[in-house]
Amino acid sequence: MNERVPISYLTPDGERHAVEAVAGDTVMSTALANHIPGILANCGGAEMCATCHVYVEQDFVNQLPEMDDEEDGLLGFTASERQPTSRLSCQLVVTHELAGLEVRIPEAQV
Amino acid sequence: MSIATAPTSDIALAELLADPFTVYATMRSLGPIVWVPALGRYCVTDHDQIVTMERDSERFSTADLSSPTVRALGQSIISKDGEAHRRERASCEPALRPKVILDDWAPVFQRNTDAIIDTFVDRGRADLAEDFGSRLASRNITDMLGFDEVSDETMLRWSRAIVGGCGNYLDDPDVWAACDTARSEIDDAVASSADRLRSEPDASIISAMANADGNLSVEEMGRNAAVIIGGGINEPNHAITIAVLGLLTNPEQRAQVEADTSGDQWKRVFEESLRWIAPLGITLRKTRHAGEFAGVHLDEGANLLGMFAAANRDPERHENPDAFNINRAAQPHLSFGSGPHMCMGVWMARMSIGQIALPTLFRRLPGLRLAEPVKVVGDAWTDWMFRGLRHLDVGWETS
Repeated sequence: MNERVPISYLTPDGERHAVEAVAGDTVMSTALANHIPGILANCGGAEMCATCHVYVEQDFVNQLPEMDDEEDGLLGFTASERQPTSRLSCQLVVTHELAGLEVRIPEAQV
Repeated sequence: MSIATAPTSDIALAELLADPFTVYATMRSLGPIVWVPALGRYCVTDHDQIVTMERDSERFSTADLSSPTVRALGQSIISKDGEAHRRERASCEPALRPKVILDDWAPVFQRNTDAIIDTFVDRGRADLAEDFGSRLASRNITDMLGFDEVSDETMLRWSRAIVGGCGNYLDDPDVWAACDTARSEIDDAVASSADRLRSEPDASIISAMANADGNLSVEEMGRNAAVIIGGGINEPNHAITIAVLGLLTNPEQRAQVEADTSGDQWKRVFEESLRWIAPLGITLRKTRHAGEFAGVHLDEGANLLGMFAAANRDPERHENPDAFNINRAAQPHLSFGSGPHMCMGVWMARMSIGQIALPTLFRRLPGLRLAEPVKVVGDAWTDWMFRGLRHLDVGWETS
């Protein structure tokens, strides 16, 4: 329980924010808890807002939870361009397999 | 060390009605949270503190059972928290996701927009609130809910009766009677549509609720339809009048938008209009237990207002905040709220108003202009909680 998992966020200004996430939390809620700038998460994880958009480092793309139709649909409405590595961080649950995960925060969320 | 109590703002209700944005500036100058005896409530004017409050339903509840909102609507989706809220909300969301709005509803919104403009385009003048905004919003909501057949007039009557009930702090029995009648008629309309939509599901909200896993009762569906009718007509209508006023009083921005064919400029117009004057100015919360918030002590059961309209004019967040400026650096505004209760109709509003109603108006009404000057404060505006222009008289060139 409460296993700590190191993950990091790369903000558009080039700064890397390394944090110890709690397994079971999401990459979005971890960002909010650690005051990482650029993850707005307006809707709080209901898959309604597309303001917790991140680009996932290529090495981790295949280890992530599968994308559901809601997330796939919403990623068509992000403020910054969708890329093949785009995900909504509210849908990324932290597990120990994701130790070392790095996500890049896009220029704009609105 | 004891925690400070919130500063008191001795503003009068009349001042808030006459010139809300000046009052908001006074409140902000006192701190992120102020006690306002005239309202009997704490007013939270800081963006981040409002977001914190809206996110944390463990500390801040929406279920103020003594409020006129609950008397008017029953304990609907907007007055429930946690899992009970989540269950009902999730049942509506399939109809309101952006891809569904784009694929299924955008053509309907466009058809409704054109049909209403057809009725007055030859006249060369119109009241965009009465003749356009309120009728369009009624028709769009009728279609999106999945009602069989309800006239625009009936929808408007229902909507006004519900909004009136939610604000009936004076406990006027006539207001309750009108609200109760509307609620009962809405329940009947929902029950009839739900019967049909259970066997013939479609993209509508009632279809989504009636066919959801959570098995919503007809009463639950009726309450939620009433919330949608109350919020889904007034606020879109106001958003239209605010945006048109913003563009018509800023000709260089209007020229910039009219030269754009991508739709991106219209997105800016829509978001900036809502930031400038929030059609829904507030959200209500109640503390579940005593504690510190925004640097002050709050007792259990303290009533709070999250002041969206005030936070949207904070100069620390938005440069020269009183100006309508579609070119300002994109910053989130609070006009749709945030957290679990964030407006469900956000994508519908962006599409039906920002991408369809506004561009269609400016395209089909060449030389659109104000028929007379409009002041940014005063009697032309509705109240501070639900803010918009009562009337917006405009003219244009006819061939």
